[in-house]
Amino acid sequence: MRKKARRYAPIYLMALPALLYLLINNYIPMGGMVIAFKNYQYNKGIWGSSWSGFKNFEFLFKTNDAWTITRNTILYNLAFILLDTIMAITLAILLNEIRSKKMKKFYQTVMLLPYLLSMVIVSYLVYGFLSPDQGYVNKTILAALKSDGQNWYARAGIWPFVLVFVHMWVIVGYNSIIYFSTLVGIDRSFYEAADVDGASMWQKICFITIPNLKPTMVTMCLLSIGRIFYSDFGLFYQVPLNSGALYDVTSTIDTYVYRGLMQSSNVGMSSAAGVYQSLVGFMLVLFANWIVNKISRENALF
Amino acid sequence: MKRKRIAALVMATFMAVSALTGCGQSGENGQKAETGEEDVKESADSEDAQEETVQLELYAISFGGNNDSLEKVNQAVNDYIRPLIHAEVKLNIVNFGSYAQQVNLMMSGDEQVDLMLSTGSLTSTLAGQGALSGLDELLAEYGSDIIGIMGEDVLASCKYGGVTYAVPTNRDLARSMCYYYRDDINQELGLGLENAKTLDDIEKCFEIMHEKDPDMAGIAGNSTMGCLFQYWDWDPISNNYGVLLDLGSELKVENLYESEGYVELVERMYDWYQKGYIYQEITTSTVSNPDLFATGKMLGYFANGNPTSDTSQSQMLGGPIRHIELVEPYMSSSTVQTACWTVPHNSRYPQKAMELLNLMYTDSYLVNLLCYGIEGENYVIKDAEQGMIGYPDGQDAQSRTYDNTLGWTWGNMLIGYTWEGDDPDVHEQMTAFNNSARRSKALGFTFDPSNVQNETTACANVFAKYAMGIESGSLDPAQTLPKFQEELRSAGIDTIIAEKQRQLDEWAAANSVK
Repeated sequence: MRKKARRYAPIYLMALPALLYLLINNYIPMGGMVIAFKNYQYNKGIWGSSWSGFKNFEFLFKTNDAWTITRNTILYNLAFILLDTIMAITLAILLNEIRSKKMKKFYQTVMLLPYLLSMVIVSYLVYGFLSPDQGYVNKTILAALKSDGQNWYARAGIWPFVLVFVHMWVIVGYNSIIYFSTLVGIDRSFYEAADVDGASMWQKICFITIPNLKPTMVTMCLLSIGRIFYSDFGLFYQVPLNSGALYDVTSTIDTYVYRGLMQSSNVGMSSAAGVYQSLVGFMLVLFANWIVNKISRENALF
Repeated sequence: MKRKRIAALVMATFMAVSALTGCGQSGENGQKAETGEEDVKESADSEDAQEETVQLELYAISFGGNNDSLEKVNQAVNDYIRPLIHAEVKLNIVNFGSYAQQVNLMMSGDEQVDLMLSTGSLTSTLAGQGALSGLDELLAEYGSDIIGIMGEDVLASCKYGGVTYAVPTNRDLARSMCYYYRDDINQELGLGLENAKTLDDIEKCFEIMHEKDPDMAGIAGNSTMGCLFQYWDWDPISNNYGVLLDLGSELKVENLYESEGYVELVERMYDWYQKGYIYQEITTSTVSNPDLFATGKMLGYFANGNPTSDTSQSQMLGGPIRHIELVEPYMSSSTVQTACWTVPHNSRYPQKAMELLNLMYTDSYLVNLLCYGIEGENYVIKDAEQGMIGYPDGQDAQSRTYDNTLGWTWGNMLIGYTWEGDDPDVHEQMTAFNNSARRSKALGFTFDPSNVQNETTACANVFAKYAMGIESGSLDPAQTLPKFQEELRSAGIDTIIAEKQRQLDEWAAANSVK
């Protein structure tokens, strides 16, 4: 036992800074959750303020807010996970079929570019298209069709599609490169054997490429599920330009908590929303892990 | 193998130690700051003859005007007040669009803030959460001049639960609602706005405008300035959820968003937006009014008015501005609370803060410095006898380096100079304007929202969702107004109204107001 301890001591010691960081950055602040159950007074501090039970949570459930933001967060992320995977794999396969090395490099770089842009810049690119006054869609496309311009930032209906599209535009290039690197690693002799057997392109993709990509797919999906409740803040806050008319379809738990703290100036209530976020997020991670346990045990988190 | 392990051990120790010392250092600093604070408090208590100069932190607002000379002005302010009150001050000017956020962060953290400008309902929100210091004793001891200047009845409008938490700046304490327009554009296009009196008249002028220049917008605005109709002809009693209609002529709290007047207004705005009279990007744009007007494609906007507003608005926008008064001047607790000074709970030197504030209400040299900048650089005296000043040669509203449009935020601007273009007796006019304005019956009443926090926050979320779109005319009220009203009701606006009515009745009984 002592021998073991001595043997691993350096490793634990090496982990110590990171553990300390986790403790200070991730665990100690959890104590702040207590604010959600307090009638917080700035001058009395956290411990001096009186308890208020669940009173701070009431505003979440007065309107449909809690339901709306939970629904948005989950549905958007499910759509992202599904579409990202399909698109990224498609792109990776297409990329793999390009024979010219130069062009391959060129496409890779071009696909990666959006990922490197800040969401603020992306939001103004979108604004360039959708601006009611000067936007490309209203000014050029709809004008050419002799149709009236729309105030896109007040029409909630189109935003689920806009957001999903923008998200894919940003992220797919990056993901496809990960899949592509797996593709490159597939043994060429599989394909040669398939050629000898007279397999079509489609058959090769279905029976060689996809099965070989499966471990990567599972890992990528798991990673995204674990992060479902880190909804992409920039995407949901910046891209719709924080337009009130769109809150029903663009509010996620993250943006709601942010707006709560910034606008309502009530610390207790915004941390109540934060606690709600953590709870739902925690349950989701447990749920996702349970599913993964059923499908492939070795990939589960715990 | 062994050597490798030793290397790892050394590295790990090094990393751990450096992480620990990192923490240790910041802890030490924190301690130093704390002991420093005690030292000063003690010395202030014992009233040493050799008083130490303390450093105050002051926060105020701007609307994005050029303020390059701020540092110089700050220097001059410090040179002036150091011998007077043994204090220096750092002037922190924050853009209004992000001010409320900044304040929230400052209050949540334990930053030093000694004097803070507060606007509108922010004061009651902060006071309700214990973020502000009570000022009654400080005022009596170090700010007695302020009480004399502002008067007890006006100061009463800033009481929350019987405690004074804020001191309103001396300016237009009443408010009229106006439509402001660029007179040069009006004349060039021959719109005839000079004869317009009502919204109907203005609409006719817009028709001509739209015909002659379809790219011109009659009403400018942006998403950070809030809605067009936060104020109109009602007394909002701090937050618009439950108001006194018709300028507070009855002590009956009603739902603004279901009132006839409101519906009429937003229907008209929708009509105007559809016809292109309102800037089409109003709900998404973050461009400030001065920049919008610099495009030359904006005709005017709604804002509150007072005897100096034509000059001040002209200065801000850099063009000749005229106004049309749409709602007569009135005074309510909310109009008084528009801008006031507070001493937050995390002030390190509340007594010094009050001494400085007292100077800001009584010392005309300091007032001129804060309002207009440095003589010879930011302004020159045009008429010494009448105290009239203007821009130095070669400077104008576009090229100025100190924002002189913010006088109303700096204590008592009425003891300072007057700006060229205003009447020489404009300060007297202002006092008369305040005194003659129609007074809401609930003037002096402030609403304590602490019993309806949840309802207020829920309503504020609903408001954020709909109000900008509806009041700017970009959403069709026929479809969205019922939804807005419905969601407000489920958020509990009726509870807030009932609570307001209850508090108002109690207040009226206690002050024998009928």
